[in-house]
Amino acid sequence: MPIEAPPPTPSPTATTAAPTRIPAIETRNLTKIYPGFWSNQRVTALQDLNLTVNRGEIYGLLGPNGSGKTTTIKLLLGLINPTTGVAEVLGKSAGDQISRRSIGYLPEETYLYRFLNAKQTLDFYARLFNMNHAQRRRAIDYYLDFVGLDPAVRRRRIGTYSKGQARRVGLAQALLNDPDLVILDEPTSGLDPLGTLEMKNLIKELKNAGKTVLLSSHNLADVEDVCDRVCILYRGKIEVEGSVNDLLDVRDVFTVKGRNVPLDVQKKLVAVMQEAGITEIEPGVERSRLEDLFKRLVLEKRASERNDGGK
Amino acid sequence: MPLSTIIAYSIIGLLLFGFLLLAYRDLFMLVRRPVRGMGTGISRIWAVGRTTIIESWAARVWMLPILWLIVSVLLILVVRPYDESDRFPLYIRILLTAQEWMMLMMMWVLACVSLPRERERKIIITNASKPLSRLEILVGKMVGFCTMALGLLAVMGVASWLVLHVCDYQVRKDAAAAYQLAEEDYRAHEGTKQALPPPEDKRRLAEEGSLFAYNYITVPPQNMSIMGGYDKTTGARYLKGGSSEKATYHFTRLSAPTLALVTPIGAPMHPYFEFNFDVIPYIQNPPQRIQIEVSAQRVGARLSPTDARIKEKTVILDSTGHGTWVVDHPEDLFTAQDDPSKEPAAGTDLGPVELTVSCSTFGVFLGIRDGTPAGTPVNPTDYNVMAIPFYSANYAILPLQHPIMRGFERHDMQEIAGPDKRELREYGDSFINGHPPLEAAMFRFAAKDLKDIPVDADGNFTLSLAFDTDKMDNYSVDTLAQIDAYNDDAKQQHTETPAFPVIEKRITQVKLPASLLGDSNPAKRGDLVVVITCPTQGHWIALGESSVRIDQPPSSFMLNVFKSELIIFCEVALLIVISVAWSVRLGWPVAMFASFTCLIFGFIADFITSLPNSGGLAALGYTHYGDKTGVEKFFDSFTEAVWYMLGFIHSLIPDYTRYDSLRFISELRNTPLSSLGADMLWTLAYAIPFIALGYLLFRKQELG
Repeated sequence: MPIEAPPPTPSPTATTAAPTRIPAIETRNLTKIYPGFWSNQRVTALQDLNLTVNRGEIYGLLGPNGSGKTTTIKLLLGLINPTTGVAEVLGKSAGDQISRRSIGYLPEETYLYRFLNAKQTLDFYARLFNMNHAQRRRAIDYYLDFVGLDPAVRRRRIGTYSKGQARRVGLAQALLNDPDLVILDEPTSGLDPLGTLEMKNLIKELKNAGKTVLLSSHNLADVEDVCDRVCILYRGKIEVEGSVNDLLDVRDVFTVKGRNVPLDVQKKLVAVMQEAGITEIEPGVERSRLEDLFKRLVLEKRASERNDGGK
Repeated sequence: MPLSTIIAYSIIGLLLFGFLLLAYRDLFMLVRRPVRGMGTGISRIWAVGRTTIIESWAARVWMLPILWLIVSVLLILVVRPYDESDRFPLYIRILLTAQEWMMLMMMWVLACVSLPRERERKIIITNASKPLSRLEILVGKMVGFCTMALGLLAVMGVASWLVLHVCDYQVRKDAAAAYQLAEEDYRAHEGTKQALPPPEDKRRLAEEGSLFAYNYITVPPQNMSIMGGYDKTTGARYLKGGSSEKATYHFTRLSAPTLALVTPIGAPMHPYFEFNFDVIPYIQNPPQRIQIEVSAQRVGARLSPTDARIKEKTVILDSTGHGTWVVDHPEDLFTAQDDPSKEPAAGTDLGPVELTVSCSTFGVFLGIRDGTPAGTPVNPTDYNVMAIPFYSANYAILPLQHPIMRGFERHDMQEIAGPDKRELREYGDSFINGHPPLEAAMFRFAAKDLKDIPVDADGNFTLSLAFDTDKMDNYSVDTLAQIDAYNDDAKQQHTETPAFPVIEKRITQVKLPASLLGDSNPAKRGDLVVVITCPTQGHWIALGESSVRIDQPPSSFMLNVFKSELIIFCEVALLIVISVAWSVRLGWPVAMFASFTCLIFGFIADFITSLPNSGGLAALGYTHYGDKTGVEKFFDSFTEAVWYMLGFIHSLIPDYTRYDSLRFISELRNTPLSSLGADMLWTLAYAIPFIALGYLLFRKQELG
């Protein structure tokens, strides 16, 4: 995704932005129980969640299916009501209409009007942010370029889009208002590896621009690559929370990497370690990931197409 | 007011109170900008509305006007009016009725499906994550569909006007051709027996066309009389024996103090009727006993067929015109009556009573007394009939003034005949105070309506006459009409016009002096009485309540079409509001069912309110003989409870029968702005509680 140009500022948000010392997201004992028709059908989706997301950080919500990630996001957006507890977003209670103008939300799947085309869709959302005609036109063109939606399909109904194309429009609507807080639910869902890479780059750019990003994902590699802090939810409770580095560092395992290491040197290294009494030694060559191979091939192909002048 | 209505209104009140209490913040957001750069709710509502319009368009709602036009034009080509004068009213009915029902059905489906589909596809999650309140989503949907409906109705309105104009052009062309042909034929046979004058109505039709939006004042139905004789000197009306004429006397409900007087012991009054008619014989051997047929019936919107059954009797009057009728089971007509300001208890006062008299004895006229004039002490001898309560023989219950007289009726019109050649030959031509016994139609314009009547430079106002004629076998002469008019505040000052030809099915205008409109002081002003006679032997003039009108400047026909479109819009808008309100929580099939139930209940409002009056099983046509069995009693009570429940539900939902887009335009009358405004206010009055209901259902609904 081309992210060189600064995003337009369609509507001033500075006036509503809370002082930076206030966390972007804060929940206290947030609990959500879905009542069933009978009492034994009650489901506790979230239990006493205490979460703080600071301004300017990228926070990852991890967890298996049904752990409460999407429920947390819906509670923060005011789409559902908490059973008990408090959630505050940008210093205001969750779901507050005024604070929602500083939030961008990308749902786990693209939920957009199928009868509108990409431009009409963004025009609709831009109107909700009180943009005038010129602002709307500028923002729509900018963000459609920004998410890399092919200009040829921009006037086609979204109902005819591929999943990836629709996802890009979904992302554009989430960023349209230049939000302070971006909530991304499974942002890489439906994207090809290249799209995933672009998404990760985008998230990093958002951080660089001072935005706060809350993302939930199944794809742990994505989270690992971009998040400052993560929490792992299980059955509605936080099992682990902390910075990615702290959580992932394995301090009793030592690794050394080198290119073109001769076989005898490798054997000597192993022998030295054995002599030192080190156990669980796993010598071997580094394997490239299939994802990396795919990205490298596609990027090389695209580069050569550009060099050939599109022949 | 019945208890069910009080409960219903209380629920609506609570609903509105709850709405104001819980939605005050969202309501404020509609008009104010809470922070700089954030627009008002109105702009967001319009954004939602605009998307809803695109949604409707994508649902191919644009096909509706095309389908409507095809259906309407086909019907116009196929259907032929019974009477040529009904052609354009019929076309207007086809065009407006078709679009009314097509719009109702289309908008009902779209409005019920839209929000549930957004919920199913979770689009509402994306929308609700924006700075958009639930109220704005709800109202935005309503605004979008209403705007779409308004646009479609505007298109169909223009198309209706064009279709009517094309038809009018064709009709005028045909009329001009027919007139030209008849004129040539007349010239060719001039001076011979075959020479028939060319039809004037065709010439007028060709010149004027048929598309009008008249403004005029007519008389209410009870102020039109057809009488066998009329005394020009006194204004007295006469019922002709042996004719199909009848006089109807209207007894109103009694006030509580009067009731206390006539039924001092609180028992049913068991009245009998006493008749006093002035008898004027016009044959050489007049009858000594006069036979009248009387019938009495309760009237009122809330009556069941059982309660409104007719009691009939043949009563013999003596030669002075006096007679009595002791009614069998009089409690069927007059029971203990409650305070008219309150809802009558079941089985007591079910409404006013009408008594109709006709005379089958040939050779007499019965004088119809108009009752004691206003402002003078009531005198029972000023009335033809009175009801005497059994327990209070000194007290007379009197009918309203000016009893209605009706004549021979055909196709909703009544007829007056020209002089009968045989009667004139046999009995002379001065039966009533020296006046010939011509049938006459009397139209009484209420004094309160005689204001703001345009008067021309000569001091005249215009009376328009829309008559049908029946020339029987006397085709060679024109049908003539004659007017005798006076105002009640100066009964002796009659204005009589010379006889003038009636143009069949076209408007005939007559200038009358403005002095007939009565005193300039409204308090002293009397009713304007216009009496129409037909002096042409063997001819008949057919007329209705709106056949004699005081003209006011006409309005634009096109504007009138759009007024009718606006009435349809109000009807459709209310259905949209109801449908969207139900659809916020319910799935689309249930929302469609709920809103359709509202629509159907609204259209059969009168029927539903009448059900409890008929009893339980009796309303289903079940008749029992003798004592009821236990099963019958159970089902009788059960069905009665169901009727009350239906009545209660009906009190909560709007009465759709009040929307009548055809009421004025189908009579080529201009729809008064007051009527249109009342419909709009009614729509708003019911839309707001439904918006409140929708909001309260939607406010805390969990999305996703």
